[in-house]
Amino acid sequence: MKPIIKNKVAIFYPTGFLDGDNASSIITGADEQEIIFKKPEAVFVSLKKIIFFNKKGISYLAERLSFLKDECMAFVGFCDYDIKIYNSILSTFVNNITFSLIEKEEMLFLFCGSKKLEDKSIIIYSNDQSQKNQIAMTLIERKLKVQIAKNEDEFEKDKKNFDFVVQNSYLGNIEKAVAVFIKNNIIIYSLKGFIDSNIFNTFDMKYHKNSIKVGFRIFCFDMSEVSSINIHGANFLSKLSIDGAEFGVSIVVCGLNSNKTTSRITQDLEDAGILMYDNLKSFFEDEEVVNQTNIEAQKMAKKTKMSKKIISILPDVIESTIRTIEILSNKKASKESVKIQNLKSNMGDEIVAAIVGFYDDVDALFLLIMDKDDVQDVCKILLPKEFSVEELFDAFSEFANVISGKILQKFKSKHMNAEVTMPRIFDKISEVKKLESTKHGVQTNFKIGNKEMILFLTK
Amino acid sequence: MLSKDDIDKYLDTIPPVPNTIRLTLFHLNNNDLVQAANIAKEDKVFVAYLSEIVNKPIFGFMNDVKNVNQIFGILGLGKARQIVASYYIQLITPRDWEVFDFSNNKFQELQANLIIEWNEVLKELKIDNKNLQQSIALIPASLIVCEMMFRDIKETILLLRESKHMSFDEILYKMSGYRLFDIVLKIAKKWEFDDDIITFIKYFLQNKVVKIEKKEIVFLRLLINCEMSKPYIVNSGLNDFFDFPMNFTEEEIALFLKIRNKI
Repeated sequence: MKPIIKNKVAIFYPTGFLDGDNASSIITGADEQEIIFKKPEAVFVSLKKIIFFNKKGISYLAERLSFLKDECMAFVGFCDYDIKIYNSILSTFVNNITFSLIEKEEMLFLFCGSKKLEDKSIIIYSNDQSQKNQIAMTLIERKLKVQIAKNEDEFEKDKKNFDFVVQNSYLGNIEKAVAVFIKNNIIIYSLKGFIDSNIFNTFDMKYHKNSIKVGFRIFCFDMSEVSSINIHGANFLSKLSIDGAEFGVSIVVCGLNSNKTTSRITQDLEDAGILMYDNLKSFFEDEEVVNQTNIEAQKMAKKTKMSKKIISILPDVIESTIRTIEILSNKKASKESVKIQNLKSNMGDEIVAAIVGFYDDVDALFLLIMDKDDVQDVCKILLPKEFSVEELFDAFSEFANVISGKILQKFKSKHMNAEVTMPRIFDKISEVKKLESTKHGVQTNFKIGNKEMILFLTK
Repeated sequence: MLSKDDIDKYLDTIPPVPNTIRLTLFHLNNNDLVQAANIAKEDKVFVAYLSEIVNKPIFGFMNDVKNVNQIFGILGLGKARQIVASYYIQLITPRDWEVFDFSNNKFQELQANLIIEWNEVLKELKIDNKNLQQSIALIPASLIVCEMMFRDIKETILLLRESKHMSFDEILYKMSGYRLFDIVLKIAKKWEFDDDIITFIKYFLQNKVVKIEKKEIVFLRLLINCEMSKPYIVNSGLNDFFDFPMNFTEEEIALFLKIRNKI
């Protein structure tokens, strides 16, 4: 059964009855290989659609999850259950719980993944004091606003005032290698423990490189939870900084003090162009530096040129895009014009744009732009009846995701080995035009029904 | 693009039920096994289908049975009616499955399992109703409808499922305004299935909480959920095809497990 991987979290959704006969078809060897390859931050099994399970079935899945935890240092466990299932799992695995239990899927993103939830309020209550503290510590580390209820009465009285209620959840040991957050278009990697040569194995370099491709320019390593860093760990950061320089990438390190490393290593990091801050707060307060770094990034980015390869894949990209748009929007899509030029748009500044990077055999950036007011009409199938602006952006992101997935299949059918990044969303055309990549590329203008859409393909 | 027009065109291509099969069912409904077997023999394709399905392990025959009179005699009226109704579905089964990693052999295995298990459930619930017995035959038709509707837009459907985790039914509804059960019911009407069967299927396939007195619907949902979690279905990608509310009581689940253990 293929897991759904979203925001760096892989979730399996088995249905019906879970026993020893069918458990092995839920997490198969092929699924494990895919997960090890993609290195998600967490792997969970949703029990939402499970009617009945026995010890054999759940034990098999727990064993496979533990394997994945060891292989990719992922946060693993079960989610989406009621109190009966929660108690039943706890009593099945007394004193030997190597996985976590998170009551609802949406709460999973409080503990892991790149989804931004920092403006949400959370109340925690548990009879188990050590669990209560562990949950609170984990959430506070993720910069979330947490309140711990003192007793059950207080919890029952206050819980309605919170966005999330964490009650029947259990944390096994969370030993994530590198947690990733995104704040103000800055990627924050949270490191823990001792940083040595092992970071070369646990850091998801593919994710990092692709984030650069889709336009992220500042990468911040939060070291507040790091106990110490040695010369090999420092070399890793220096290498990232030097390698990223040609793309205008800045590496920032926060929370590394004299107790954690030597002055020599700190000096080496600064010499490699790494910006050092006492903590994350002081970094984000330094708006001038953040903005300057952004501008600098644009200037430093290499001017890219169209390659023959990009021109050669264009027909496939256009064909796949038109076909997918027609299926998703249920409207006729037609190509209006194709030109090699810099990005030109007659739309106002209020747009929604998604940028996706293809890599490996095909090295290209794919940009989809629509007027903000037109998006809901075209992405109807992906939107709930009532939606927020955030959900509209999410829907357009999914829209771009499905189209890029379709293009990927086309490449694969022609034996081209390609992978794709997650889409990055912009909401202003002026911001999109700042990207160096938009200075030269193939622009295709589409009509979807009577709405306009721009596809910009560049290197 | 998948529109109502495309679906209506597909429905037009569904062949009518052959007269021999219609007559066979007529005699079975009149409790005349011998006459039904005599008529059924005239349709060689049906005889081949009958012989293949009853020799599936779940029917538990020790030796290969091929004679129609013998098969009908062993099966009895209830199961014979179900198999004839299942044969209707065979008329729209694709030669090859493209959207799902499935085959006609596995489809027959599914039909056979459902027939045997549904009979056990009805026996335990002490329900003796020939329309209810036959209704099980129509449910797998929704799998075929899904396969046929989505095969031209297969990659997009699978990508949509992956990125949004939408059910097949939801995708179909958002694209065409039809739900799967709308299509299955249209097929059932075309084949002139009894109104009671159509009403039952309608209740069953609706994604709504069913009132407690409809015990048979609750148990059919349990049965389908159980079948959908078997490895041969999970590996095919058909596993979370039906999106029912999960409102089963502990007693219902316990009784269902008891029935299942009898098979």
